[in-house]
Amino acid sequence: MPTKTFAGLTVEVNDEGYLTDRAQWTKELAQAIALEEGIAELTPAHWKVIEFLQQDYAERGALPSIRRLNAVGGVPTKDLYNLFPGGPLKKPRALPACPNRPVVFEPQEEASYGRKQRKNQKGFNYRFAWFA
Amino acid sequence: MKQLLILGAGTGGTMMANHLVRKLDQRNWQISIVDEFATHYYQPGFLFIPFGIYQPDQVMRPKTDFLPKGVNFIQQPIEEIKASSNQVVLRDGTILNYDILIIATGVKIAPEMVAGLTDSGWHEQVFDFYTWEGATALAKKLQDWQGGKLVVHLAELPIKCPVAPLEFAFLADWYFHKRRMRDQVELTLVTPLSGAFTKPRSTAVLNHLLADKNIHIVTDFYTERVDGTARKIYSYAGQEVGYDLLVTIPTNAGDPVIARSGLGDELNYVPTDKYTLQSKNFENVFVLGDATDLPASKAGSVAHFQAELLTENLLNFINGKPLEPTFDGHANCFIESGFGKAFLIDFNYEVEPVEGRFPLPIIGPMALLKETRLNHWGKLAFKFIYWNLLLRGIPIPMITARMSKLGKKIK
Repeated sequence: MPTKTFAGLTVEVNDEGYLTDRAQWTKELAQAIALEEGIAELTPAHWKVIEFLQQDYAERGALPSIRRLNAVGGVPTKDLYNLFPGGPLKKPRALPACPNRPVVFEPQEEASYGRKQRKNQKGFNYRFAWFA
Repeated sequence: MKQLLILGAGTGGTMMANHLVRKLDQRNWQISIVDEFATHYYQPGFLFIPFGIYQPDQVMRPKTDFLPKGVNFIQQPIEEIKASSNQVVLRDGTILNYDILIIATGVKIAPEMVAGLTDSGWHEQVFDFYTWEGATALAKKLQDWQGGKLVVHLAELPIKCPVAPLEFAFLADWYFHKRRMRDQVELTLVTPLSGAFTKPRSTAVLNHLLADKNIHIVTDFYTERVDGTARKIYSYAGQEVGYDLLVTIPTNAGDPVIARSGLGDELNYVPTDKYTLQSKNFENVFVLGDATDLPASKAGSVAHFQAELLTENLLNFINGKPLEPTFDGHANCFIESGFGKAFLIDFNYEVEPVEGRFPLPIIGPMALLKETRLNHWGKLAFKFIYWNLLLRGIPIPMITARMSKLGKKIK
Protein backbone atom coordinates (compact mmCIF):
# COMPACT_ATOMS: atom_id res chain seq x y z
CA MET A 1 0.00 0.00 0.00
CA PRO A 2 1.62 3.29 -1.03
CA THR A 3 1.79 6.10 1.45
CA LYS A 4 2.02 9.80 1.07
CA THR A 5 3.14 12.51 3.42
CA PHE A 6 1.33 15.80 3.72
CA ALA A 7 3.02 18.30 6.03
CA GLY A 8 4.48 15.60 8.19
CA LEU A 9 1.33 13.45 8.27
CA THR A 10 1.81 10.10 6.60
CA VAL A 11 -1.31 8.41 5.28
CA GLU A 12 -2.12 5.33 3.24
CA VAL A 13 -3.41 5.96 -0.26
CA ASN A 14 -4.43 3.74 -3.13
CA ASP A 15 -2.71 3.90 -6.49
CA GLU A 16 -5.03 6.69 -7.57
CA GLY A 17 -3.98 8.82 -4.65
CA TYR A 18 -7.12 8.58 -2.56
CA LEU A 19 -7.06 7.95 1.13
CA THR A 20 -7.91 4.37 1.93
CA ASP A 21 -8.50 4.68 5.64
CA ARG A 22 -11.25 6.99 6.78
CA ALA A 23 -9.80 6.96 10.31
CA GLN A 24 -6.64 8.68 9.11
CA TRP A 25 -8.55 11.69 7.91
CA THR A 26 -8.23 14.78 10.09
CA LYS A 27 -8.90 18.47 9.63
CA GLU A 28 -5.16 19.13 9.69
CA LEU A 29 -4.67 16.61 6.92
CA ALA A 30 -7.37 18.26 4.85
CA GLN A 31 -5.61 21.59 5.28
CA ALA A 32 -2.31 20.04 4.24
CA ILE A 33 -3.81 18.51 1.10
CA ALA A 34 -5.49 21.81 0.30
CA LEU A 35 -2.17 23.60 0.52
CA GLU A 36 -0.69 21.15 -1.95
CA GLU A 37 -3.61 21.80 -4.30
CA GLY A 38 -3.02 25.52 -4.17
CA ILE A 39 -5.59 26.61 -1.61
CA ALA A 40 -3.72 28.60 1.03
CA GLU A 41 -6.31 28.34 3.75
CA LEU A 42 -9.56 26.47 4.19
CA THR A 43 -12.09 29.10 5.15
CA PRO A 44 -15.46 28.46 6.84
CA ALA A 45 -16.99 28.49 3.35
CA HIS A 46 -14.70 25.65 2.29
CA TRP A 47 -15.57 23.73 5.43
CA LYS A 48 -19.25 24.11 4.78
CA VAL A 49 -18.76 22.28 1.48
CA ILE A 50 -16.53 19.60 2.96
CA GLU A 51 -18.85 18.93 5.89
CA PHE A 52 -21.86 18.67 3.64
CA LEU A 53 -20.01 16.19 1.43
CA GLN A 54 -19.09 14.04 4.39
CA GLN A 55 -22.53 14.12 5.87
CA ASP A 56 -24.29 13.43 2.58
CA TYR A 57 -21.88 10.64 1.73
CA ALA A 58 -22.47 9.04 5.11
CA GLU A 59 -26.23 9.22 4.64
CA ARG A 60 -26.56 8.18 1.02
CA GLY A 61 -23.39 6.27 0.22
CA ALA A 62 -22.70 8.49 -2.76
CA LEU A 63 -21.24 11.90 -3.30
CA PRO A 64 -23.72 14.66 -4.04
CA SER A 65 -23.93 16.34 -7.42
CA ILE A 66 -23.23 20.02 -7.95
CA ARG A 67 -26.99 20.53 -8.13
CA ARG A 68 -27.51 18.75 -4.83
CA LEU A 69 -24.78 20.81 -3.19
CA ASN A 70 -26.65 23.86 -4.35
CA ALA A 71 -30.21 22.75 -3.63
CA VAL A 72 -29.68 20.80 -0.42
CA GLY A 73 -26.29 21.96 0.83
CA GLY A 74 -26.99 25.62 0.09
CA VAL A 75 -23.74 26.26 -1.80
CA PRO A 76 -24.26 28.33 -4.96
CA THR A 77 -22.43 26.77 -7.89
CA LYS A 78 -20.59 29.97 -8.70
CA ASP A 79 -19.19 30.03 -5.16
CA LEU A 80 -18.14 26.42 -5.46
CA TYR A 81 -16.05 27.25 -8.50
CA ASN A 82 -14.51 30.21 -6.71
CA LEU A 83 -13.73 28.18 -3.62
CA PHE A 84 -12.10 25.33 -5.49
CA PRO A 85 -10.77 26.90 -8.68
CA GLY A 86 -10.10 24.61 -11.59
CA GLY A 87 -11.75 21.62 -10.01
CA PRO A 88 -15.33 21.48 -9.01
CA LEU A 89 -17.01 18.34 -7.87
CA LYS A 90 -16.96 15.46 -10.21
CA LYS A 91 -20.46 14.31 -10.67
CA PRO A 92 -20.73 11.02 -8.90
CA ARG A 93 -24.23 10.44 -10.10
CA ALA A 94 -22.85 10.54 -13.60
CA LEU A 95 -21.04 7.33 -12.85
CA PRO A 96 -23.71 4.70 -12.61
CA ALA A 97 -21.39 2.33 -10.80
CA CYS A 98 -20.88 5.00 -8.23
CA PRO A 99 -17.35 4.73 -6.95
CA ASN A 100 -16.90 4.07 -3.29
CA ARG A 101 -13.75 6.02 -3.58
CA PRO A 102 -14.81 9.57 -3.06
CA VAL A 103 -13.39 11.57 -5.90
CA VAL A 104 -13.83 14.95 -4.46
CA PHE A 105 -11.95 17.56 -6.31
CA GLU A 106 -10.19 16.92 -9.53
CA PRO A 107 -8.15 19.48 -11.40
CA GLN A 108 -9.84 20.04 -14.69
CA GLU A 109 -6.88 19.95 -17.01
CA GLU A 110 -5.82 16.45 -16.10
CA ALA A 111 -9.15 14.96 -15.22
CA SER A 112 -9.56 11.71 -17.03
CA TYR A 113 -11.28 8.43 -16.55
CA GLY A 114 -9.58 5.21 -15.86
CA ARG A 115 -6.94 3.84 -13.62
CA LYS A 116 -4.69 3.16 -16.56
CA GLN A 117 -4.45 6.74 -17.69
CA ARG A 118 -3.83 7.91 -14.18
CA LYS A 119 -1.16 5.31 -13.58
CA ASN A 120 0.64 6.38 -16.71
CA GLN A 121 0.97 9.92 -15.52
CA LYS A 122 4.10 9.94 -13.48
CA GLY A 123 4.63 12.22 -10.58
CA PHE A 124 2.14 13.47 -8.10
CA ASN A 125 -1.38 12.94 -9.02
CA TYR A 126 -3.01 13.32 -5.70
CA ARG A 127 -6.39 14.83 -5.89
CA PHE A 128 -8.29 16.09 -2.97
CA ALA A 129 -9.48 13.18 -0.97
CA TRP A 130 -11.07 14.48 2.13
CA PHE A 131 -12.25 11.18 3.40
CA ALA A 132 -11.80 7.61 2.33
CA MET B 1 -60.72 -6.54 -3.06
CA LYS B 2 -57.17 -5.29 -2.68
CA GLN B 3 -55.88 -2.50 -4.86
CA LEU B 4 -52.59 -2.45 -6.73
CA LEU B 5 -52.01 0.93 -8.32
CA ILE B 6 -49.42 1.71 -10.98
CA LEU B 7 -48.57 5.34 -11.73
CA GLY B 8 -47.36 5.87 -15.27
CA ALA B 9 -48.14 3.72 -18.31
CA GLY B 10 -44.77 4.08 -19.99
CA THR B 11 -42.27 1.28 -20.52
CA GLY B 12 -41.94 0.28 -16.85
CA GLY B 13 -45.58 0.66 -15.83
CA THR B 14 -46.93 -1.17 -18.88
CA MET B 15 -44.57 -4.09 -18.34
CA MET B 16 -45.53 -4.31 -14.67
CA ALA B 17 -49.23 -4.38 -15.56
CA ASN B 18 -48.61 -7.23 -18.00
CA HIS B 19 -46.52 -9.24 -15.56
CA LEU B 20 -48.81 -8.76 -12.59
CA VAL B 21 -52.07 -9.49 -14.34
CA ARG B 22 -50.75 -13.02 -14.89
CA LYS B 23 -49.34 -13.50 -11.41
CA LEU B 24 -51.99 -11.99 -9.15
CA ASP B 25 -55.27 -13.70 -8.36
CA GLN B 26 -57.83 -11.46 -10.02
CA ARG B 27 -60.51 -12.41 -7.52
CA ASN B 28 -58.48 -10.70 -4.80
CA TRP B 29 -56.57 -8.02 -6.62
CA GLN B 30 -57.69 -5.13 -8.78
CA ILE B 31 -54.84 -3.66 -10.86
CA SER B 32 -55.20 -0.05 -12.01
CA ILE B 33 -52.82 2.07 -14.02
CA VAL B 34 -52.93 5.86 -14.28
CA ASP B 35 -51.40 7.99 -17.01
CA GLU B 36 -52.24 11.41 -18.26
CA PHE B 37 -51.51 10.63 -21.94
CA ALA B 38 -53.06 8.28 -24.45
CA THR B 39 -50.03 7.75 -26.71
CA HIS B 40 -47.15 5.41 -26.05
CA TYR B 41 -43.93 6.61 -27.69
CA TYR B 42 -41.11 4.29 -28.64
CA GLN B 43 -38.51 6.59 -27.15
CA PRO B 44 -35.38 4.94 -28.59
CA GLY B 45 -36.83 5.90 -31.99
CA PHE B 46 -36.60 9.64 -31.28
CA LEU B 47 -32.89 9.46 -32.11
CA PHE B 48 -33.65 8.41 -35.68
CA ILE B 49 -36.36 10.95 -36.46
CA PRO B 50 -34.09 14.01 -37.04
CA PHE B 51 -32.18 12.07 -39.72
CA GLY B 52 -35.28 10.78 -41.49
CA ILE B 53 -34.50 7.14 -40.65
CA TYR B 54 -37.82 6.84 -38.84
CA GLN B 55 -40.91 8.85 -39.66
CA PRO B 56 -42.61 10.49 -36.66
CA ASP B 57 -45.68 8.26 -36.89
CA GLN B 58 -43.57 5.09 -36.63
CA VAL B 59 -42.84 5.65 -32.96
CA MET B 60 -46.40 6.18 -31.72
CA ARG B 61 -49.06 3.68 -30.67
CA PRO B 62 -52.06 3.95 -28.36
CA LYS B 63 -51.17 2.97 -24.78
CA THR B 64 -54.26 0.79 -24.56
CA ASP B 65 -52.82 -1.55 -27.23
CA PHE B 66 -50.34 -2.80 -24.66
CA LEU B 67 -52.45 -2.90 -21.53
CA PRO B 68 -53.90 -6.32 -20.84
CA LYS B 69 -57.52 -7.12 -20.16
CA GLY B 70 -58.28 -7.03 -16.49
CA VAL B 71 -56.23 -3.89 -15.92
CA ASN B 72 -58.16 -0.71 -15.30
CA PHE B 73 -56.64 2.20 -17.28
CA ILE B 74 -57.39 5.64 -15.91
CA GLN B 75 -56.40 8.49 -18.21
CA GLN B 76 -56.05 11.43 -15.90
CA PRO B 77 -53.20 13.63 -14.59
CA ILE B 78 -51.99 12.79 -11.09
CA GLU B 79 -52.28 15.62 -8.61
CA GLU B 80 -50.64 14.17 -5.52
CA ILE B 81 -49.43 10.95 -3.95
CA LYS B 82 -50.35 10.79 -0.27
CA ALA B 83 -48.09 7.93 0.69
CA SER B 84 -48.67 8.21 4.41
CA SER B 85 -52.40 7.60 3.94
CA ASN B 86 -52.07 5.17 0.99
CA GLN B 87 -53.94 7.43 -1.40
CA VAL B 88 -53.43 9.01 -4.80
CA VAL B 89 -55.37 12.12 -5.78
CA LEU B 90 -56.10 12.72 -9.45
CA ARG B 91 -56.56 16.10 -11.15
CA ASP B 92 -60.34 15.75 -11.27
CA GLY B 93 -60.44 15.15 -7.52
CA THR B 94 -60.86 11.39 -7.63
CA ILE B 95 -59.16 9.67 -4.71
CA LEU B 96 -57.68 6.24 -5.35
CA ASN B 97 -56.84 4.05 -2.37
CA TYR B 98 -54.14 1.45 -2.71
CA ASP B 99 -52.60 -1.45 -0.85
CA ILE B 100 -49.51 -1.46 -3.04
CA LEU B 101 -48.26 1.43 -5.14
CA ILE B 102 -45.83 1.19 -8.03
CA ILE B 103 -44.32 4.47 -9.15
CA ALA B 104 -43.20 4.42 -12.78
CA THR B 105 -43.59 8.08 -13.64
CA GLY B 106 -40.27 8.25 -15.46
CA VAL B 107 -38.17 11.26 -16.26
CA LYS B 108 -38.66 14.25 -18.52
CA ILE B 109 -36.43 16.93 -19.92
CA ALA B 110 -36.66 20.17 -17.99
CA PRO B 111 -35.33 22.89 -20.34
CA GLU B 112 -36.43 25.56 -17.87
CA MET B 113 -33.82 24.30 -15.39
CA VAL B 114 -30.99 25.46 -17.69
CA ALA B 115 -30.64 29.25 -17.49
CA GLY B 116 -31.50 30.99 -20.76
CA LEU B 117 -32.11 27.82 -22.74
CA THR B 118 -35.65 28.57 -23.81
CA ASP B 119 -35.33 32.37 -23.88
CA SER B 120 -34.46 32.76 -27.51
CA GLY B 121 -34.39 30.46 -30.51
CA TRP B 122 -36.04 27.42 -28.88
CA HIS B 123 -36.93 25.06 -31.72
CA GLU B 124 -35.39 27.57 -34.14
CA GLN B 125 -31.64 27.23 -33.52
CA VAL B 126 -31.92 25.31 -30.27
CA PHE B 127 -33.47 21.84 -30.30
CA ASP B 128 -33.90 18.84 -28.09
CA PHE B 129 -34.48 15.37 -29.47
CA TYR B 130 -35.73 13.77 -26.26
CA THR B 131 -39.33 14.62 -27.07
CA TRP B 132 -41.42 13.76 -30.09
CA GLU B 133 -41.98 17.47 -30.74
CA GLY B 134 -38.28 18.28 -30.50
CA ALA B 135 -37.16 15.41 -32.71
CA THR B 136 -39.77 16.24 -35.34
CA ALA B 137 -38.91 19.96 -35.37
CA LEU B 138 -35.22 19.11 -35.67
CA ALA B 139 -35.89 16.82 -38.64
CA LYS B 140 -37.44 19.78 -40.47
CA LYS B 141 -34.55 22.04 -39.52
CA LEU B 142 -31.86 19.61 -40.67
CA GLN B 143 -33.52 19.10 -44.03
CA ASP B 144 -32.57 22.54 -45.26
CA TRP B 145 -29.75 23.49 -42.92
CA GLN B 146 -26.80 24.89 -44.85
CA GLY B 147 -24.08 23.89 -42.41
CA GLY B 148 -22.02 25.67 -39.78
CA LYS B 149 -21.26 24.90 -36.16
CA LEU B 150 -23.41 22.07 -34.82
CA VAL B 151 -23.00 21.65 -31.08
CA VAL B 152 -24.41 18.60 -29.30
CA HIS B 153 -24.71 19.68 -25.71
CA LEU B 154 -25.28 17.75 -22.52
CA ALA B 155 -26.30 20.04 -19.66
CA GLU B 156 -26.12 17.86 -16.62
CA LEU B 157 -26.24 14.25 -15.50
CA PRO B 158 -27.93 11.91 -14.95
CA ILE B 159 -29.86 11.75 -18.21
CA LYS B 160 -32.11 9.22 -19.81
CA CYS B 161 -30.03 6.99 -22.09
CA PRO B 162 -26.54 8.40 -21.44
CA VAL B 163 -25.26 7.28 -24.84
CA ALA B 164 -27.89 9.10 -26.90
CA PRO B 165 -25.88 12.35 -27.27
CA LEU B 166 -22.97 10.35 -28.66
CA GLU B 167 -25.21 8.43 -31.00
CA PHE B 168 -26.64 11.71 -32.19
CA ALA B 169 -23.16 13.03 -32.96
CA PHE B 170 -22.21 9.83 -34.82
CA LEU B 171 -25.40 9.82 -36.84
CA ALA B 172 -25.01 13.53 -37.64
CA ASP B 173 -21.55 12.79 -39.01
CA TRP B 174 -23.03 10.05 -41.21
CA TYR B 175 -26.01 12.19 -42.25
CA PHE B 176 -23.90 15.13 -43.43
CA HIS B 177 -21.51 12.79 -45.22
CA LYS B 178 -24.44 11.29 -47.05
CA ARG B 179 -25.61 14.75 -48.03
CA ARG B 180 -22.07 15.62 -49.18
CA MET B 181 -21.78 18.56 -46.83
CA ARG B 182 -19.76 17.10 -43.97
CA ASP B 183 -16.91 19.55 -44.68
CA GLN B 184 -19.30 22.43 -44.11
CA VAL B 185 -20.28 21.21 -40.67
CA GLU B 186 -18.15 21.58 -37.56
CA LEU B 187 -19.38 18.98 -35.11
CA THR B 188 -18.71 19.43 -31.38
CA LEU B 189 -19.86 17.45 -28.37
CA VAL B 190 -19.98 19.40 -25.10
CA THR B 191 -20.22 17.33 -21.93
CA PRO B 192 -19.82 17.76 -18.16
CA LEU B 193 -18.04 14.40 -18.10
CA SER B 194 -14.30 14.05 -18.51
CA GLY B 195 -14.72 11.87 -21.57
CA ALA B 196 -17.28 10.45 -23.96
CA PHE B 197 -19.03 8.15 -21.50
CA THR B 198 -19.36 7.34 -17.83
CA LYS B 199 -17.40 4.09 -17.82
CA PRO B 200 -13.64 3.95 -18.45
CA ARG B 201 -13.29 1.17 -20.99
CA SER B 202 -16.12 2.30 -23.22
CA THR B 203 -14.91 5.88 -22.88
CA ALA B 204 -11.52 4.90 -24.27
CA VAL B 205 -13.16 3.19 -27.26
CA LEU B 206 -15.65 5.97 -27.89
CA ASN B 207 -13.14 8.82 -27.49
CA HIS B 208 -11.09 7.16 -30.19
CA LEU B 209 -14.10 6.89 -32.44
CA LEU B 210 -14.97 10.56 -31.96
CA ALA B 211 -11.46 11.52 -33.05
CA ASP B 212 -11.73 9.25 -36.10
CA LYS B 213 -14.93 10.91 -37.15
CA ASN B 214 -13.52 14.39 -36.60
CA ILE B 215 -16.03 15.20 -33.89
CA HIS B 216 -14.56 17.65 -31.39
CA ILE B 217 -15.24 17.06 -27.73
CA VAL B 218 -15.29 19.67 -24.97
CA THR B 219 -15.15 17.96 -21.58
CA ASP B 220 -15.72 19.05 -17.98
CA PHE B 221 -18.16 21.67 -19.18
CA TYR B 222 -20.70 22.36 -16.45
CA THR B 223 -23.21 24.68 -18.07
CA GLU B 224 -24.00 27.95 -16.36
CA ARG B 225 -26.22 29.49 -19.01
CA VAL B 226 -27.15 29.59 -22.66
CA ASP B 227 -27.37 32.85 -24.57
CA GLY B 228 -29.67 32.31 -27.53
CA THR B 229 -29.07 35.78 -28.95
CA ALA B 230 -25.28 35.58 -28.96
CA ARG B 231 -25.58 31.85 -29.78
CA LYS B 232 -23.14 30.79 -27.10
CA ILE B 233 -23.11 28.47 -24.10
CA TYR B 234 -21.10 29.35 -21.01
CA SER B 235 -19.71 27.15 -18.26
CA TYR B 236 -19.16 27.97 -14.59
CA ALA B 237 -15.41 27.69 -15.12
CA GLY B 238 -15.58 30.48 -17.73
CA GLN B 239 -15.39 28.42 -20.93
CA GLU B 240 -17.62 29.42 -23.82
CA VAL B 241 -18.68 27.54 -26.95
CA GLY B 242 -20.41 29.19 -29.90
CA TYR B 243 -22.97 27.46 -32.11
CA ASP B 244 -25.09 27.92 -35.20
CA LEU B 245 -27.29 24.99 -34.33
CA LEU B 246 -27.53 23.70 -30.78
CA VAL B 247 -28.86 20.22 -30.11
CA THR B 248 -29.19 20.07 -26.36
CA ILE B 249 -30.04 17.47 -23.78
CA PRO B 250 -31.38 19.69 -21.01
CA THR B 251 -31.39 18.74 -17.35
CA ASN B 252 -33.53 15.64 -16.83
CA ALA B 253 -35.88 15.56 -13.87
CA GLY B 254 -38.47 13.22 -12.44
CA ASP B 255 -42.16 13.98 -12.78
CA PRO B 256 -43.35 17.16 -11.00
CA VAL B 257 -45.95 15.07 -9.14
CA ILE B 258 -43.07 13.55 -7.14
CA ALA B 259 -42.06 17.03 -6.02
CA ARG B 260 -45.66 18.03 -5.26
CA SER B 261 -45.98 14.94 -3.09
CA GLY B 262 -42.68 15.55 -1.28
CA LEU B 263 -41.35 12.15 -2.26
CA GLY B 264 -38.28 13.09 -4.27
CA ASP B 265 -34.76 14.43 -4.05
CA GLU B 266 -33.49 17.63 -5.68
CA LEU B 267 -34.23 16.24 -9.15
CA ASN B 268 -37.57 14.63 -8.22
CA TYR B 269 -36.15 11.13 -8.14
CA VAL B 270 -37.64 8.83 -5.54
CA PRO B 271 -35.15 7.41 -3.00
CA THR B 272 -35.25 3.67 -3.66
CA ASP B 273 -33.43 0.59 -2.42
CA LYS B 274 -30.99 -0.25 -5.19
CA TYR B 275 -31.43 -4.03 -4.87
CA THR B 276 -35.11 -4.54 -4.02
CA LEU B 277 -36.69 -1.42 -5.62
CA GLN B 278 -38.70 -0.76 -2.49
CA SER B 279 -39.10 2.91 -1.67
CA LYS B 280 -36.83 3.92 1.20
CA ASN B 281 -39.62 5.70 3.03
CA PHE B 282 -42.76 3.59 2.55
CA GLU B 283 -42.72 -0.18 2.58
CA ASN B 284 -45.76 -0.66 0.32
CA VAL B 285 -44.40 1.70 -2.34
CA PHE B 286 -42.12 0.35 -5.07
CA VAL B 287 -40.38 2.31 -7.78
CA LEU B 288 -38.99 1.25 -11.11
CA GLY B 289 -37.50 2.64 -14.27
CA ASP B 290 -36.33 6.22 -14.63
CA ALA B 291 -38.27 7.47 -11.59
CA THR B 292 -35.76 5.98 -9.12
CA ASP B 293 -32.61 7.56 -7.73
CA LEU B 294 -30.62 4.37 -8.35
CA PRO B 295 -27.07 4.67 -9.65
CA ALA B 296 -28.11 2.61 -12.69
CA SER B 297 -28.59 3.88 -16.23
CA LYS B 298 -31.90 5.47 -17.04
CA ALA B 299 -32.79 3.19 -19.91
CA GLY B 300 -35.60 0.96 -21.13
CA SER B 301 -33.46 -2.14 -20.69
CA VAL B 302 -33.04 -1.34 -17.01
CA ALA B 303 -36.81 -0.96 -16.57
CA HIS B 304 -37.25 -4.25 -18.42
CA PHE B 305 -34.90 -6.18 -16.13
CA GLN B 306 -36.33 -4.45 -13.06
CA ALA B 307 -39.89 -5.35 -14.05
CA GLU B 308 -39.13 -9.07 -14.08
CA LEU B 309 -37.37 -8.97 -10.72
CA LEU B 310 -39.83 -6.59 -9.10
CA THR B 311 -42.70 -8.89 -10.03
CA GLU B 312 -41.08 -11.71 -8.04
CA ASN B 313 -40.37 -9.40 -5.15
CA LEU B 314 -43.94 -8.09 -5.09
CA LEU B 315 -45.18 -11.64 -4.77
CA ASN B 316 -42.77 -12.11 -1.86
CA PHE B 317 -44.12 -8.93 -0.31
CA ILE B 318 -47.75 -9.96 -0.76
CA ASN B 319 -47.05 -13.40 0.71
CA GLY B 320 -45.28 -11.91 3.70
CA LYS B 321 -41.86 -13.25 2.70
CA PRO B 322 -38.70 -11.15 2.91
CA LEU B 323 -37.70 -9.22 -0.22
CA GLU B 324 -34.83 -10.62 -2.22
CA PRO B 325 -32.06 -8.20 -3.15
CA THR B 326 -32.08 -9.35 -6.75
CA PHE B 327 -31.58 -6.32 -8.95
CA ASP B 328 -27.92 -5.97 -9.93
CA GLY B 329 -28.06 -2.76 -11.95
CA HIS B 330 -28.08 -4.67 -15.22
CA ALA B 331 -28.27 -2.44 -18.30
CA ASN B 332 -27.84 -3.23 -21.92
CA CYS B 333 -27.77 -0.87 -24.83
CA PHE B 334 -26.94 -0.38 -28.43
CA ILE B 335 -24.82 2.59 -29.42
CA GLU B 336 -25.53 3.58 -32.98
CA SER B 337 -22.29 4.79 -34.56
CA GLY B 338 -23.37 5.74 -38.07
CA PHE B 339 -22.72 4.19 -41.52
CA GLY B 340 -24.88 1.18 -40.68
CA LYS B 341 -22.90 0.09 -37.65
CA ALA B 342 -23.42 0.01 -33.92
CA PHE B 343 -21.89 -1.02 -30.62
CA LEU B 344 -23.54 -3.12 -27.96
CA ILE B 345 -22.74 -2.78 -24.27
CA ASP B 346 -23.88 -4.87 -21.30
CA PHE B 347 -23.07 -3.91 -17.71
CA ASN B 348 -24.30 -3.67 -14.12
CA TYR B 349 -23.52 -1.91 -10.82
CA GLU B 350 -20.18 -3.71 -10.48
CA VAL B 351 -19.01 -4.63 -13.96
CA GLU B 352 -18.37 -1.92 -16.54
CA PRO B 353 -18.97 -2.62 -20.24
CA VAL B 354 -16.26 -4.91 -21.58
CA GLU B 355 -15.58 -6.93 -24.71
CA GLY B 356 -17.24 -10.28 -25.16
CA ARG B 357 -20.21 -11.90 -26.83
CA PHE B 358 -23.94 -11.49 -26.33
CA PRO B 359 -26.39 -13.01 -25.51
CA LEU B 360 -24.62 -16.38 -25.62
CA PRO B 361 -21.06 -16.60 -24.32
CA ILE B 362 -18.45 -17.15 -27.07
CA ILE B 363 -21.11 -17.84 -29.72
CA GLY B 364 -22.80 -14.48 -29.59
CA PRO B 365 -23.85 -13.70 -32.24
CA MET B 366 -23.54 -10.09 -31.14
CA ALA B 367 -20.15 -8.63 -30.21
CA LEU B 368 -19.88 -6.49 -27.11
CA LEU B 369 -18.05 -3.15 -27.17
CA LYS B 370 -17.26 -3.63 -30.86
CA GLU B 371 -18.61 -1.78 -33.86
CA THR B 372 -20.46 -4.22 -36.12
CA ARG B 373 -23.22 -4.24 -38.72
CA LEU B 374 -25.09 -6.95 -36.86
CA ASN B 375 -25.41 -4.69 -33.81
CA HIS B 376 -26.96 -2.04 -36.05
CA TRP B 377 -29.52 -4.53 -37.34
CA GLY B 378 -30.10 -5.56 -33.75
CA LYS B 379 -30.88 -1.97 -32.86
CA LEU B 380 -33.37 -1.64 -35.72
CA ALA B 381 -34.96 -5.02 -34.92
CA PHE B 382 -35.38 -3.90 -31.35
CA LYS B 383 -38.38 -1.74 -32.28
CA PHE B 384 -40.28 -4.87 -33.26
CA ILE B 385 -39.20 -6.63 -30.07
CA TYR B 386 -40.22 -3.61 -27.99
CA TRP B 387 -43.73 -3.37 -29.37
CA ASN B 388 -44.43 -7.07 -29.56
CA LEU B 389 -42.55 -8.77 -26.75
CA LEU B 390 -41.04 -6.39 -24.25
CA LEU B 391 -44.03 -4.18 -23.45
CA ARG B 392 -46.32 -7.18 -23.25
CA GLY B 393 -44.04 -8.80 -20.69
CA ILE B 394 -43.15 -11.72 -22.93
CA PRO B 395 -39.65 -13.03 -22.13
CA ILE B 396 -37.04 -12.33 -24.79
CA PRO B 397 -35.15 -15.55 -25.50
CA MET B 398 -31.72 -15.78 -23.88
CA ILE B 399 -31.84 -12.31 -22.32
CA THR B 400 -31.61 -12.60 -18.55
CA ALA B 401 -32.66 -10.00 -16.03
CA ARG B 402 -29.45 -10.40 -14.06
CA MET B 403 -26.23 -9.86 -15.95
CA SER B 404 -24.26 -12.92 -17.00
CA LYS B 405 -20.49 -12.68 -16.64
CA LEU B 406 -19.92 -15.61 -18.98
CA GLY B 407 -18.15 -14.81 -22.20
CA LYS B 408 -17.08 -11.39 -20.99
CA LYS B 409 -13.49 -10.27 -20.80
CA ILE B 410 -13.56 -8.97 -17.26
CA LYS B 411 -10.20 -7.86 -15.90
